[in-house]
Amino acid sequence: MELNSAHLPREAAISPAGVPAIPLADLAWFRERSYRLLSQSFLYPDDDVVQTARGLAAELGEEHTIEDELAISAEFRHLCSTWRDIDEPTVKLLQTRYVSLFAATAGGVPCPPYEAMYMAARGLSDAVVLASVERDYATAGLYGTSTKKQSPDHISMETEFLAILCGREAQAWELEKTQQGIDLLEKESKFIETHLGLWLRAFGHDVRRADPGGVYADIAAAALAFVTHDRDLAEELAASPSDEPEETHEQG
Amino acid sequence: MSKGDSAPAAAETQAVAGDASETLVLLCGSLVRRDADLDPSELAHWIVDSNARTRAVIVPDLCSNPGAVSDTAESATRMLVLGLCSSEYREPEFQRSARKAGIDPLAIAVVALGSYCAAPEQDGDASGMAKTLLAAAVAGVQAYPGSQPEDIRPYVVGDDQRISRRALFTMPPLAYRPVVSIDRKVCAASTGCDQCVQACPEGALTNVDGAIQIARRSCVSCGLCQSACPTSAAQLPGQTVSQLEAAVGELLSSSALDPDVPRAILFVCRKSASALDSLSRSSSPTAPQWLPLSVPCSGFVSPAVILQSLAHGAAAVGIVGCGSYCRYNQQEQTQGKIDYCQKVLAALSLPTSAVAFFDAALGASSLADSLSSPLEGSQRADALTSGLSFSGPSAAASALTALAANDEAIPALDHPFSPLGLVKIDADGCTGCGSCAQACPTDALDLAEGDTVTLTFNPALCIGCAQCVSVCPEKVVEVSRDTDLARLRDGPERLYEDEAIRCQSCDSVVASAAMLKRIEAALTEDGRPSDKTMKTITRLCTDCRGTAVPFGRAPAPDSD
Repeated sequence: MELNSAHLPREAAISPAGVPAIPLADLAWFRERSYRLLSQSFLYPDDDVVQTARGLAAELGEEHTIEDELAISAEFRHLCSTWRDIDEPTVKLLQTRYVSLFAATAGGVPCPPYEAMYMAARGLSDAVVLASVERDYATAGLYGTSTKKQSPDHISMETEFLAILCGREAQAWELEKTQQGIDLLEKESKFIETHLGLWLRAFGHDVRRADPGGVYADIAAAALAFVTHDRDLAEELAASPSDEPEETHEQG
Repeated sequence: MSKGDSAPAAAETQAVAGDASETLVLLCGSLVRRDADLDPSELAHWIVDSNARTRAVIVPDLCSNPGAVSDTAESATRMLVLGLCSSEYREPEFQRSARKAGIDPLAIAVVALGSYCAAPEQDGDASGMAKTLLAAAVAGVQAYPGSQPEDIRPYVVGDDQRISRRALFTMPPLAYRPVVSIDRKVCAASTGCDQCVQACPEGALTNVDGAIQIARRSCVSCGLCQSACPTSAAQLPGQTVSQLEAAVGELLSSSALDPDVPRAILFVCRKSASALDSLSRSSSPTAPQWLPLSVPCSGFVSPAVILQSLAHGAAAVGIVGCGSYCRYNQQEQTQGKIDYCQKVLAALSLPTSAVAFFDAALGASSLADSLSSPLEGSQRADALTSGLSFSGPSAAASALTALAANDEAIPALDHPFSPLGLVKIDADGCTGCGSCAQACPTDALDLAEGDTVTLTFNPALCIGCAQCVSVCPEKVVEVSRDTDLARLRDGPERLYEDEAIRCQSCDSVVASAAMLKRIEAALTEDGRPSDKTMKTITRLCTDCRGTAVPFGRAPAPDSD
């Protein structure tokens, strides 16, 4: 399965350095790219994936103004620099590690990157978890395609979904559709609360145990740090506005 | 920053010390302009000489220049201490600058040196006090182990104000605050403990199936859960127990102050900090002995913290709080804890004024009058010099026994805010089932099975939570909020002892004799079973009943 998203604009008007007023659209685009980088990081690192991740990391590395505003941990900055500076031997190493960590081996899958595998411990069946995730995708108007086979509860799918929501949110801010932007912030934090946030810590723990000090342990740590922060941020921003009626369009 | 505006500012940034230090101390150059004996250069050299892990920089007009943090921090910088003119500083901007430098937002300590040390007519050792406060702040941040992703959350600055929808098109200014963290390895929630849940003023904590759940957005970082937690599982990152211990320890032991001058710890609620600023502008300076230390809330300061501070040499302990304006409704709690400590001191024939509450809500002049009064307390000649600990119930107990070292007979003190409790058991009704020991979150109750079944009670570990009362099937347990120094001195005591009946198959303990009598009575309520069945049940342990007694072939326990 692959989520079909529109080709989203990538250029964001960053305020001059030192000016604290950052447009929410720029913030949302920054988050969209961050989620896309995380999504790519948990796909098999073939040439296309590596090239895309390298490009995203380079773009994010230029966003100092936004990064300085957020207490994104050192792990996430490390993730960006890892992808920016990745070389061929490291790619080969990543490919080997990806298979041994996330794909089937003789002893099973050490770190299954699937929500259903972790939610089973809470008594939820695979079918219920998959249905719940797909329902959220469908509610957002997203359906699976047959070009790539990927389970909907794969970590790269869940982070890609959040990237799409952030992209839509950015467009809403750009079009001054305030309520739509707030609704999308709420959907983002809700999705993290009900899906990704429930199993990411346990998944990261498994990766650290299976690949101590390895690149994938760093990636999992970065994912946990970013997603934890982003859930709080989305929740806080969504709760910020007053109850006054929306005046944007009437005044415009 | 309100005084001395006409004086010339320090010329330029001045760095003191090596450059591979993890703790950066930034001092406002404007401190030199205040009408007191404060020399930032002297402070910088002293802090660097006394702590090898620090680098000190004097920044001209630092209070108005938060960007100096990122300009002066280096790649090795992990912690930050700001020596500012006032507690009213631009926190979000300093945080932002620190974030830019890669410094953990929770590894920042601020000392309002200008307010605390430079009151106009203060005749004390302002320089020594400033050095001591700086050293305590450095000790506090250096005791911080670092944060996990879950330990902080962003919030919109000025969240008490309503933000218009139009304002949302730009990101509102953000700052970060800590969220309580629960160490599940030591948390006693699985036994039913909910001390943190009860202490939380915002309902942010719940005990769900034996695990504490945190509603992150509801946490207001007051730290009351940490103060209430009997196992130190709840910790407020950036204000942890170990950080508080390090800071208080430094205040009491710093070599920068005259050892013959009594030292008093003044815990200042962060919401009341500005009240001390106004004191520095008034004509009523504080008594020089008070050493202020910022805490999240007045309720954060437990009796254990107060008594430990006194036992380790504090001549007095004061708490500055919001009084009736406390947004977490801690006025009654704080007053209760103060009252308890005063009654303890009275019982020990020590001056009760060595523990005091100062209500910032009454205004600066009232606060000034209270704080400028000379202290009645004096530093104990036999003060403890090591073992300062604010963790767990034993902290209060060990402080009490230290304070009472020379006292013989002291009556037990029954007080609703006693941090310690006493368990009583009606031994005639007890069956030694051990439910109370299993439920006790602090292991104050312990059931041992050997030749006898013995229930012991350690009064130094009891917090009076009464979980043992609620789980006792025989309803024979009572708990009171008593502090009994005699029993604390005596140590663990035996509450119940009975013969242990052993399994005739494997020799492990089946139960106490009283328990077996109770079982026999229960079995015969609806007609007596056969003797063989009765003996099988009462003389074989549950494991052996399952393996050694196949259906239809029950061995005769008394066949020997």
